[in-house]
Amino acid sequence: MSRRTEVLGDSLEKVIDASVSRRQFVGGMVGGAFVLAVPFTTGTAKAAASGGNIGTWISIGTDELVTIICPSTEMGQGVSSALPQIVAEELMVDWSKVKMQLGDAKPAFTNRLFGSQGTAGSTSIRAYYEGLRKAGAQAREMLVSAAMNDRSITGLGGGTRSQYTATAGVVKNTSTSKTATYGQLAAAAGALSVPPNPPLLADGSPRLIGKSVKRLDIPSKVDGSAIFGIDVRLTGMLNAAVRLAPKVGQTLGTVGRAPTGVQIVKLKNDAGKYIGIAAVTSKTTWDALRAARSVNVSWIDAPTTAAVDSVTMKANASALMTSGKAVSAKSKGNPTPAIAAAAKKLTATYSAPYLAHAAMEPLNATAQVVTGKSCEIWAPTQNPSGSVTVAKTLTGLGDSAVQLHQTMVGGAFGRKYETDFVSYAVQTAMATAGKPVKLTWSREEDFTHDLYRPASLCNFTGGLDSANKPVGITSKTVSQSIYAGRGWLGPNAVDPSAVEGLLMNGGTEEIAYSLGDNQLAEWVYDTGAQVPLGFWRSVGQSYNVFFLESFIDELAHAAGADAIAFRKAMLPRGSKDLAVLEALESASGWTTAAARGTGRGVALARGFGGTICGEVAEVTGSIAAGIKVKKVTAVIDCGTVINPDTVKSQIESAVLQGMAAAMWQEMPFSKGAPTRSNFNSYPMGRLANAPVINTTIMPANGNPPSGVGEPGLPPIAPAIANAIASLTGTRLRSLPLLPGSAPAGGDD
Amino acid sequence: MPSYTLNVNGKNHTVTPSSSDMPLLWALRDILGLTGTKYGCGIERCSACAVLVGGEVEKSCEVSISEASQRKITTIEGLSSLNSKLQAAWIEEQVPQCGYCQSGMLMAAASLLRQNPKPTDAEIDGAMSNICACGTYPRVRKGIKRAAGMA
Repeated sequence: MSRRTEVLGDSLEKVIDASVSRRQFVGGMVGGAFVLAVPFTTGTAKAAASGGNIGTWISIGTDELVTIICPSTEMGQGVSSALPQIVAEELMVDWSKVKMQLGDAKPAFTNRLFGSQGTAGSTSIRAYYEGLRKAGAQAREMLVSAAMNDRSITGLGGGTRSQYTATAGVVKNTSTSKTATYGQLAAAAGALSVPPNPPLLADGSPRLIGKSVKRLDIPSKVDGSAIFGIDVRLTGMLNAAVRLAPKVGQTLGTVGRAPTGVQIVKLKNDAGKYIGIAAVTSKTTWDALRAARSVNVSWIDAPTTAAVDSVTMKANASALMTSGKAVSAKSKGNPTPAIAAAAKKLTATYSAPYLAHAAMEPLNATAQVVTGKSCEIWAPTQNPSGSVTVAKTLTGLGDSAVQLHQTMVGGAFGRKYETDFVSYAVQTAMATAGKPVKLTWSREEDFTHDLYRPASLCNFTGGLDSANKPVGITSKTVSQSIYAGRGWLGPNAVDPSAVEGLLMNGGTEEIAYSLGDNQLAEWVYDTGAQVPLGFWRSVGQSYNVFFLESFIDELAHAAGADAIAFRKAMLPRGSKDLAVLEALESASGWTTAAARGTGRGVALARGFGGTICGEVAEVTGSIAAGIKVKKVTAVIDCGTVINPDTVKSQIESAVLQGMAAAMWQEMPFSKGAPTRSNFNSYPMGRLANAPVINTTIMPANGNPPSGVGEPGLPPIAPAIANAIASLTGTRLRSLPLLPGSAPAGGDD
Repeated sequence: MPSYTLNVNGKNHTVTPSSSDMPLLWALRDILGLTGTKYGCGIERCSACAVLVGGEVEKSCEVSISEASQRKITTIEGLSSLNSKLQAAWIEEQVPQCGYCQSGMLMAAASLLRQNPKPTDAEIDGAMSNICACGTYPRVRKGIKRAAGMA
């Protein structure tokens, strides 16, 4: 057993345990291993300029195991295998020798599309692809150089680069047939300077990219050894539970006596207002959860609290649709007169509700703060950089004194990009005299203190000429603003997330329907509603694509046209959008009549760096007796694919999450409070409801990678609604489509 | 404070909880350090905390330590000695995504296959009520069939 194996154990995940000292976990990575410190060269200039914080991306042990850092958050999407797969491609190592380690928060690990280290927007592969290929090639060339310099193995060194090959973890001098393994060469290679422009393997000869290799994280997820944030256990660690103001906008009033052995810590939000407490105990999380519930606490309403009520908010949104101040997001051509003069005119209003994120791992974070000295955080976060910033602000410590370790993330869907749960853990740790403390949220706290997917109301008008060709389209949306809530929205500006998916300009992020030549898209900012908002998988597209693709279907129906034929006629010849739709038509068997009692619906969406995803849903049943989604056919064009099986699993994921949202999910509010607080009232999909899902991946044709995690979600709601309309003749325009049919499941 | 003997994965442990109504879930996680069993809802609705108690699948968030003592408990950490085919099938089918629900999912599947070695689709539907927010359900079905030799 090599020294490193002793230090790291079988996987990093197994090392965080009360029985192993934390020092080993923290410092174990380089202990005894020979390290190739290959910098990541496409980071921001700021990261490079910070110097001294060049990340170590690749380390090679004498045991021939290659450990590759994953800077992104592993929250189920498979990125912790896909990123190492890119490195391994160029490094020329067998996949069986590759191990993965989640990267701590470091400027060197910056996602170049964000300018910070964070995982959102389906960006990871796009952001790191080129840099990781280069890093793999750099490491490979350093190993070859080390072999060329080697005089310890007779016949190995000397000669020219072209004499040497690097294959499957072995460098060979082909003139002498002498070889050395990467493990033998790593120490010498690590002392060399990093070549700035190493040759990449010739295109067309990929070994790992494009192969469905087995994910590196899965073995630890079938034997219970994977460490999620909630599983972190440190020597001397205290357990704490959070209790936050039950209604939106409320602040903390009085706090009663703490139970024996329990410490109460008051918690502030980013605005500096006390909004809750943490109950800290040296006993178990269960004791902490019980203590947090038992404390007498009073809360003070904000003036806006009572208005956070679904009945009030829906009435206000409807009023704003007619009388609110609309800002133009897109105005092109003359849709209004064109529609007025059209042979057939259509108008329809759609709506979508607030949604919780409902990730399976409740929010939690662990922190240890030594006043004036250090702050160390272990968190299931999508946002390492933002979390460090929050910790620095709270503690007054500098960059070098704040460390953040990523853990496995038990689902996130955008919720764990927020930093509130990290802030509360750090605040709690600032009050525990240097002892580490894990702060856990109960499921109820998690549901009722989400930053919810916005609700939205959207009115469309459209027209068809006498030949049933569409002549123009207008949309007007009323919603709150995610951006405004973060101070990102300028005066009279449009929140881009409120309209994404509605516009049709072509280009990377929008479907190029020809209707877009005559379009008006407006947005009314609903300033009255005060629900805390956040990013939810595919954000605005999660409802705007439902609105647009439902209305396109209604236009097709009014035209008496087939839903796919109608869309194809609106797409440019030779476009990728059209190619995806044609592939979908074929893969779904669209041109063969659906079985009796089965309805089919189609929808198409584009975004996340240019990914196009089309889906066909097949449904059976009736609105009265219940609708079952039997089958979903998906086609995705996401450019270069790293791991096809992971792409398929992300489509399955997006389809199933999107289907549960489309059919059943909603977070209502009453008198200031969210009314659903656990899985007994917030409906989730179950295995019995899951349709068969078939996915086709389009050939990349040399295009670079684009997003995968989110693009499968937006089309599913309209595909289902369109299928229901086709089956039953009833057009459902409000999400959730069939809230009364939610699966119960999980009964006692 | 009373002590209880918990027989977990074939080993006896003496635990002294703060209260006898502490759910087994928290004794496993926070006292014994067996963190593979997950907290998801605390009200028996999601099955992230599913373990086998006396051979039957139970939601450990609502089984008290006192009820669990004197009975054989199997957690995800002990699954390999009960049914290693399931874990192999889960890897072969690449079932987990975030993985948080998978311990409970695997324990429910193990219980199903103990009682019904060749389950039909309808029987799988009926037995597997675990919540997975990532959407691994189609692969869970495939994994069960593979482990049952029906793939």
